Amino acid sequence: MSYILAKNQGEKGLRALDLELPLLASEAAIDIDNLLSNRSKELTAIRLLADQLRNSIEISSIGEPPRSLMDPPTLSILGEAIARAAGEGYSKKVDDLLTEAVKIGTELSSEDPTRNIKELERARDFCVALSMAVVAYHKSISDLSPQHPFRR
Amino acid sequence: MDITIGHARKRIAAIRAEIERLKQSEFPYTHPLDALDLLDNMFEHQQAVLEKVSPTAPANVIFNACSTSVYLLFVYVPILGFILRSTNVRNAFESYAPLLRLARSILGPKTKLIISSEWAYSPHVYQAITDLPDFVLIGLPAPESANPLLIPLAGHELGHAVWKAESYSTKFGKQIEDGILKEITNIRWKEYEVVFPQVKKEHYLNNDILAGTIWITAYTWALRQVEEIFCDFFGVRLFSEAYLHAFEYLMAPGFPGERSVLYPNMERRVLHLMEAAKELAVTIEPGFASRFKEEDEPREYATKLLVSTADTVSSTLVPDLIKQVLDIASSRMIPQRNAGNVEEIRAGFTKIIPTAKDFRVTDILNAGWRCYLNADLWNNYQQIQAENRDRVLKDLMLKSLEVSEAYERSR
Repeated sequence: MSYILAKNQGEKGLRALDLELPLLASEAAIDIDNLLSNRSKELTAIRLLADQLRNSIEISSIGEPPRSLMDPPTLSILGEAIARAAGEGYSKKVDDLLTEAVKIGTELSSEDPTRNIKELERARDFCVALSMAVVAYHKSISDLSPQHPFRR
Repeated sequence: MDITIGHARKRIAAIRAEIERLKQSEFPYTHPLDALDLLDNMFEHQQAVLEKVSPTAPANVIFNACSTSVYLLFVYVPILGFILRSTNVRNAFESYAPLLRLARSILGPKTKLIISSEWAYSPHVYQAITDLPDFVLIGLPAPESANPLLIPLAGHELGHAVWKAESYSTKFGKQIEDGILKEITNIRWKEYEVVFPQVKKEHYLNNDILAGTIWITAYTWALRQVEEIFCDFFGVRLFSEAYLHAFEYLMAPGFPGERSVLYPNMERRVLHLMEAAKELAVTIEPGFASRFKEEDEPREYATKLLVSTADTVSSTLVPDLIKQVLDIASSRMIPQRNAGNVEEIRAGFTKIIPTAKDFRVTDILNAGWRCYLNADLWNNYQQIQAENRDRVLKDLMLKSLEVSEAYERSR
């Protein structure tokens, strides 16, 4: 079993404090870019991230809006990543963000992700934004830890 | 872009070379070597990921790939230093086997332990390390790493491992979320309206992302505080009075200046410790609370409001946290300090005799603290000069831990 598969076994959902998440999202972005440029067809990281997205959102079978299964910081970070990938003026409503996350997850797990280049480019930017937002969140917590008073 | 990717690849190659060098160190037990192997696998994968990055990829993809690889170094270089320092003879190796056994009884038989020292004056644990599953890394400040009187502080650090293993963040997350939102929209709305005028009450109630950026700060701080409170309680449950003494030794009276938002302030932390001690039938020394000084609250108004909200919510969970500690200790059959055993060991120590029986680590540590706090200890032994008293006591404690370990291995 590859390293990345071994690390992401089981029904894993997105968790902002997971050290693996920014690395997985970064690797997914690289693989998507290689797909877009026809350099390789490696899908492992992409599929694993899609699984985590799927495991983090409950989709209603009776047409109700999707429901978050994430803790509040993770939901906030996911929203930030989606909004960044979508550009200015994107909705700040959680329901819209979750619907968008479901769309990205579906795109990432489709049989042939390259059939919609535009969506795939957006998914790549989402992966980069997610990776960056998670690291920024980790950093915001570690910055609160006491530092040496004379350390610069 | 070639040069940026090239630097990133070389940085990872350098850390892998360093890991190879670290493997040549003389480790007193095998778990640090196992950790180095796992970390090398992780960096090997990272090297392969960087090899996949094309110099013609968009800048955001390249920059992010290189940034995350630096982030890995930022996370793991201190851990490699910690692993290296685990070889140092300043560590109390006598405590390793009893603590590993204790950790395994709590966290399961696969648990691996690394005890080391840190050149920072705070005991700590590295937790939630994805690439070191089943590992508990406990560090004491270097000048105290051979001091068995401070072993009880490992109880707090083991608490962090339990917190993660039992997914208590998820368990308490909803209560914290509800508590924070209730505080904001109900109890403190007038203050929040003034400090964050751009966010309306309905933004909080409708789970709007704009409001999320505000209340999630209080949520994160409350969650961290609750974890720290749990870990203090876990330390009290594992080591009873010895935990309170070790805590006081290292923390009292505290620092001047602003408190950390990730812990309850010292006054409340001590108060909660005393609440837990009472519930767990642990004796509190007279004047315990008075030996800690108050910390300053943040001056900046938004931070002050958010941390005060987090404080209120984390305080309300204290009874639940005590119950959680009692439940987990009972389900894992974690032994409690036995007053009779403590007295027997203490009596031996007063005659400068280490225990010759199979006693539990908590009993040995509590007996040690009782001797340490006895101002008249060994007054009749003229050969033990006052300046050698602590050293002799620590040697007796470490020897007793070794004897207990010998019994355990001979079973």
